[in-house]
Amino acid sequence: MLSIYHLSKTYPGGKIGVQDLTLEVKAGEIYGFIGHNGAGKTTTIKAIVGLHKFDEGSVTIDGVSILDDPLRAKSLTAYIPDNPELYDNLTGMQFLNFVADIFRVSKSDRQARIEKYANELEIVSALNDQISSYSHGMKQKLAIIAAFVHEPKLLIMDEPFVGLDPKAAFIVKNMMREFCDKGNAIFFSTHVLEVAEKLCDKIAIIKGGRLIAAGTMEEVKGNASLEEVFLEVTEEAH
Amino acid sequence: MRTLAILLRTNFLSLVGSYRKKSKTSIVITAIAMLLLVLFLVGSFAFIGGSSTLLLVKKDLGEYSIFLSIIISMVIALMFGVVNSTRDARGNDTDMLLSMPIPKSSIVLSKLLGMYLLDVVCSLVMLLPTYIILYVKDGQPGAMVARGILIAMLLPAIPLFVSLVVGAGIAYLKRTTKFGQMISSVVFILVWLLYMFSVTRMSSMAEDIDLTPAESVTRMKKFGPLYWFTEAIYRGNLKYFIFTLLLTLIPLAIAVVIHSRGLNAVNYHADHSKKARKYEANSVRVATLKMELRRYLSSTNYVMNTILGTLLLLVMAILVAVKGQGIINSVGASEIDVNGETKTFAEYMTGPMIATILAALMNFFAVMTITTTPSVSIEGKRLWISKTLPVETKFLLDAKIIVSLLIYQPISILSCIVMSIALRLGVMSCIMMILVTSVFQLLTSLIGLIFGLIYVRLDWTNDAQVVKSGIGIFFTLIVNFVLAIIALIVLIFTALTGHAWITYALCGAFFVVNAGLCVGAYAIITHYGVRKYESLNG
Repeated sequence: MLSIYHLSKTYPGGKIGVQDLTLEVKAGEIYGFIGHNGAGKTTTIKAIVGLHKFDEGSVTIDGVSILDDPLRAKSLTAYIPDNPELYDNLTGMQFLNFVADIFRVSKSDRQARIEKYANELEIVSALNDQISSYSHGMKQKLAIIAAFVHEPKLLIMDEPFVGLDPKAAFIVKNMMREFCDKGNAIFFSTHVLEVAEKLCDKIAIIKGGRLIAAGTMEEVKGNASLEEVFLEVTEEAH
Repeated sequence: MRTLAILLRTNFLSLVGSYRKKSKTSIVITAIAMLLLVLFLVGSFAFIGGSSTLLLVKKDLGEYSIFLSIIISMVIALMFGVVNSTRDARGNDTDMLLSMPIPKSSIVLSKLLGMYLLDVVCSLVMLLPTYIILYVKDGQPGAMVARGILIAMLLPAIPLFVSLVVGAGIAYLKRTTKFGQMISSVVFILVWLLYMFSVTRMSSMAEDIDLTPAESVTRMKKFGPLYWFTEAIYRGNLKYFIFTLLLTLIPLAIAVVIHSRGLNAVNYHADHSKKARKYEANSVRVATLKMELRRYLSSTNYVMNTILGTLLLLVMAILVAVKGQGIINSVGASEIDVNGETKTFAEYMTGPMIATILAALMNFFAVMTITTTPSVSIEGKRLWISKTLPVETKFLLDAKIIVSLLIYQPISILSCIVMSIALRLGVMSCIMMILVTSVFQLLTSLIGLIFGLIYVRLDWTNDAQVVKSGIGIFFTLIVNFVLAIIALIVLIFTALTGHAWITYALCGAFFVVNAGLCVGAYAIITHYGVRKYESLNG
């Protein structure tokens, strides 16, 4: 579903964002992406969704290159940023309608999906309010609904659980599992190793822009805890 | 009292801090700079008040000069007050303050006193020159100056009351309707127009007055409370002084109640209304256009800085429709020499000629209505939304251009039609005027977008940083004003040919040249602009 091949990105001034990163996310997989602050997680994610240009390598989504056919690639993807800056002066409903319009979601489909996810995330009563009145968690919930409303094949999430209350986090985890069970895929970054350990089918650890470990959960951590492995491999790579 | 003093001090430091460019700048220097800024802003009105007083004292209308100065100071205080009322009255610090062991009355008083004291400074700056001139030139006693100072310190209570009532009204509309922000913008614009009107009227107010002292009293009496204030200051009339006290202190008390109620509102925006959710479906083009339009209308700064041209155009159209024929008739009586033949101006001026001159003037209003320059920067931290959506960049940029046209063109076309009918210019002249102005506005919008893309800034914290200032805005204005001046020269020359068909032909050529420039500018946008937009990192 998502193939990243020898991806490299250096920022102006010489700071390395990502270096020669290769990984593959298959349909049905939840793929976790962990690393220290500044390790290159967000740079990689922004390259996947077409926000950042990259110097070398390729990114393909369901066989479609983000460089060669960005519109087609984006139509297969949904992105939830770590800090969802949404249009503050719109109501939640207006924002969801906007996203649904862009992805050409029919009126009946959008109604069914918005009601389903808004009910699950308990945000229905706030949909007619302006986004400026939302808390960080509510904005995150709205961004999640906007991502699910067009039923993408690949979901890219940057720290999706930040700001969510425990119940909402639990619901979102269920939504993620359900989404991948339908043959879709999720690639997400997180600092919460317990969540990654429980939720992910595969995991990749990045440090200084380089991939230092990747594979199924068993391959990466064996019998140890993910936390121990993470600390160990990031220390070794130092 | 101690808490109130602490709050006032903190409010003052916070206000001064917001103007400090660098943390190293001394607070005292910043405070002095702020005071000078206030003096500069209201100083022009103080000058108008002072110069009017000098003129009126010569006409033995000293009392009337106080009356006029009070009007000036009230209009300005009302203007600032209403502008303030369009902002959130709660402020960012209210929740924090309410969570502290501070009496609510202290919070309310500290906020009101902060606003009130600033208004008092402005009021004194505007009224003191009048009092001093009356004391020096008109032989008024020092007691009059003292009364005047006291009342100058009381008067700001009225605009403060009005601004809080308007603020509460806007907050209510924001709670109950989705047009709150738009209403805020409209109030802002109306106040701005009032300011413009006041500036132009006040400077000539005293010169136009030709009254005897008795007639001036009759006129002042028509304005009730303003007359009472004047009498209380000028003659020390006790009855009117009590009226003044009541008229200022009662609204002040009501203002305190309104403001404390405002503090209790949890959040103006959080309505959790039970309104039915609308699941409306639109095409991608319409969705991007609607989003662009909403983005424009949701920013008061954005609207304020770009709507002026449209409003002035509307004013011009109304003025031309009402007074245009009269002006042409009066000007038309004068004789001019055309190729050795003496004609009246009315005989010489044809429909196409007038239409061309009007079109040349309208182009300047188009220059003031360029929404495209800040339209890229205004996306700021939300650029990720546009960039991750499967929408062609060209569509997004097209939407920015179309919004610019939508804001100006309907009024422009309507103005052309109204002026053509009022001045009986004829259908051909009307069409010519529409074509010439439309193509020029499109060109200015395209140029604006090019500069907006070249000088993009996405890291702003306040939209005023990209809407009001910025090198892109500066270059857009310079280039477009130069173009408007060139267009003015060309079109005036065209108009002066005096032959209808030559005027039409030259205007046609103007249209073709501008259309060609539009094609060129659009090509730059679809090639360079698209690449630049796609390379932006929000």
